[in-house]
Amino acid sequence: MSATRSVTVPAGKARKHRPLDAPPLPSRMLTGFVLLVICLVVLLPFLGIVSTSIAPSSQVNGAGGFVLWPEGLDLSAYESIFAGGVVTRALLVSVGITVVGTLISLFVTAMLAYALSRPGSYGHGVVLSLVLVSLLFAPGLIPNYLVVKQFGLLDSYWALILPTALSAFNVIVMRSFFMAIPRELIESARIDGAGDFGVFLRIVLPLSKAVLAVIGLFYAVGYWNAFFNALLYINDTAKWPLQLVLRTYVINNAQLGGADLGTSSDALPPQASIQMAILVVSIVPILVLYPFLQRHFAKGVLTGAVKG
Amino acid sequence: MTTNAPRGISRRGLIVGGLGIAATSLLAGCDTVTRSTDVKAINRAVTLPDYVPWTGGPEPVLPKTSALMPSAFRRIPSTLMSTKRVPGDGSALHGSVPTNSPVPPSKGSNPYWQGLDERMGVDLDLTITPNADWGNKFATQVAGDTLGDVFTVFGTFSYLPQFLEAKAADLTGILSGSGVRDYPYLANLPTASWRGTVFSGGIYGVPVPRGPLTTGVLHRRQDLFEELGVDPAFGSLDEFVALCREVSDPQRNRWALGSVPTNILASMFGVPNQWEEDDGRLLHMYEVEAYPDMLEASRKLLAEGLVHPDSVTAYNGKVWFVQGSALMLQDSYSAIPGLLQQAEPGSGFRMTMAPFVGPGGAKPKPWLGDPNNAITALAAGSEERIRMLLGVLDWCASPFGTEAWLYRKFGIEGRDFEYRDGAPVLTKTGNSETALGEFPLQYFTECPLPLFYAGAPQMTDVVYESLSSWLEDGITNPTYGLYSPTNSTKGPAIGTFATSAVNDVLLGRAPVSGWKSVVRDWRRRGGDAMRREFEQALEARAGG
Repeated sequence: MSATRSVTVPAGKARKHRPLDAPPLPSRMLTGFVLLVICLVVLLPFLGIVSTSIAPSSQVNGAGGFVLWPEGLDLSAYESIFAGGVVTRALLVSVGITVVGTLISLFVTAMLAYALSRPGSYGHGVVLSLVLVSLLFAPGLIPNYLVVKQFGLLDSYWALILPTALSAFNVIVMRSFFMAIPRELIESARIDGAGDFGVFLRIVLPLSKAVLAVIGLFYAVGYWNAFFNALLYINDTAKWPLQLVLRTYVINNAQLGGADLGTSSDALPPQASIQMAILVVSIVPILVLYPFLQRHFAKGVLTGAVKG
Repeated sequence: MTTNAPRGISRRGLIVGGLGIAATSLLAGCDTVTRSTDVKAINRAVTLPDYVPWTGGPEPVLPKTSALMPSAFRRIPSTLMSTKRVPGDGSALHGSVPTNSPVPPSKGSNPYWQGLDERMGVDLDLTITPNADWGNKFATQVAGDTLGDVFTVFGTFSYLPQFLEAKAADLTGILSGSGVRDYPYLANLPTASWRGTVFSGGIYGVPVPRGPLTTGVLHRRQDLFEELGVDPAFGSLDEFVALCREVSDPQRNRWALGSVPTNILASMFGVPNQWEEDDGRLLHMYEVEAYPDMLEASRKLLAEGLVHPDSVTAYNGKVWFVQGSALMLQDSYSAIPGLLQQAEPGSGFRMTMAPFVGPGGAKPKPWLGDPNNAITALAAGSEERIRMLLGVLDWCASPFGTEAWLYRKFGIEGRDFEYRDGAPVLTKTGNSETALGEFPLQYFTECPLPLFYAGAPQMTDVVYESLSSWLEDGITNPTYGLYSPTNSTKGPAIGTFATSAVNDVLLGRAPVSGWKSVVRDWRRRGGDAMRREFEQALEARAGG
């Protein structure tokens, strides 16, 4: 005999079942609190940076140089930076270097990585050894400069791209990714009549969007942040990238307007405001790239990293 | 003490090795340079250029109480002296200079720069390098032979005399003695500055003078002291400490000092300016008895919380001073314009300088700052070319009261600056085009700095009063302008060792009683070798 029991569920109050192994409420609250604190720790400095860059001078000076929330909107720090068009021009230079450099770097890295991923390719072992050697032994400052000079690249945008166009580390990562592509796919393409370039362009690259996105981001961030090669190779300040121009505002904690010579000018925004505005200008453009590429990160890097 | 010593020095120290390699390879095949171990030959004396003060300009408004006293002016004169002579020959002039300011727009979009070309008569092309990166850039330029016609040289590089002998023009024949009179504005540069240009018995550069305004002094926020109702005067160490205690209030984000005021304390304790010379024999300041006493007094200031807590780890003294977190700041006189600029208009910001106090009530002998910021060397070439380049540098040294001076500092009237209440004030465009009035042409050379504060005429009197109270008694570093191979090659490393030892004492990590062993170590690491070489250099410079 079995008794039939009916369970009445109140209308409109469908009960959600909690898994047996779910942590108790206090534990979840604690986790949430800790996560909230971590988020604040990460976000507050950024909020402070943006706030300080747009806060009125009086508030910044009164607060000791750093504010968490602006009492008003004062864009004079940004006006100071962008006055004269130097930063605007440098921004364009940086964007150009980053886009062109990333495309070139991706192209040569993918080509080399693919060739090295195919066993039996011509000079495979020697070329791979050379790549690995360059990873271990980097040339020094002066040899690099002399090479760039001998190639006639001083004061050329190419000096900012070609010496760093190929990263051995990225080649290794990408090669590992390519090696994980099933050989059967490539063989079937060959049976269908595809040559080496056909296989590379029509089979391998379309399957490698994740690693291309990630390595592309690595290169883009590298080109965007680079200032030292421009410092060495570019004499014409009109060709300086953004990071080098901005560096002149912040190096040595230099006081803007710290004139030795008795000149005077309109009151400048507080130094802290200018420095924070510089941070915003330098990090925002590259920051907006991350959300678009984030989804490729785990697949692109981890897959390539563990199979090799 | 060097708790807030500029990091640039240590960075530069790091590059010394690289530059040494570059210089060694550069000079390896050059048989004509003086051997680095021949200290006497490197420090041979030479007849320095005559000093002929320029008298064609406006009369200073305050009397010169000392030969070192800068000319004092409250306003730009209504009539400026014309600088009609165009020194250049229309050729290209490539210079390599550092900068501490934001980089100016390039010449194509910078009418101010184009105006410089027109006035100097050259096609000026500058390689501008941020000061902090100067060492790296200079090393590569030396290796690549791309320094250009005119280049800045700092005195901290290894094998500097050999480098100058190999790559720079020897200007002795043109500038020595009365030769400099062909360049009246260069002849207006003080003799002390020319001493820094002499290597291996020759004049290898033109000074970039700074004069006594590089001396460190204790600036005071006079307005804040008055607001607190506290008299900022002090006549002894005890009174100074009491004053610091009275105004420090960490709860209100207020400290008496932005950093340990080394120059003020050195004067109180009678510590020599780096080295003390007595009849040709040298004693370093670390070795005198007063030094550990000064260290102990400094340590107490820090321990009592009278110095801004970030002064050692994250020094930002000028900002603290302007915003009122630090009521007193040790910095150079040349920092004053920058401090005035940073002050918020209408905030009542007013500053004065504390007088120096001597040991036990004796007359103070403050440390005089080095006379030069750097020197400028010219690439070796024909005499005609060298004379033309010196003419350009002469224009760059045209003093206060000339049209050229006003143009260099403020640019084009109506575009880069405008007159407000009779004082020239840079516009936003001018700030950018003239690099805040610090266009890096100032590293070619400069006139002796005047006491002039555009828009703040009262500061001329304040600074004049401060300078006149001690300038006659200021003590110089007796080794200035002398070359020691050990100092050149090992100096940065030895300096880092000493700075660390000083900081250990200041922060309470090491007892001041252990200072003697630090000095022993310092001597063993190269201090004694430097002393020996500097003594030989002194002898050679004296003609011995």
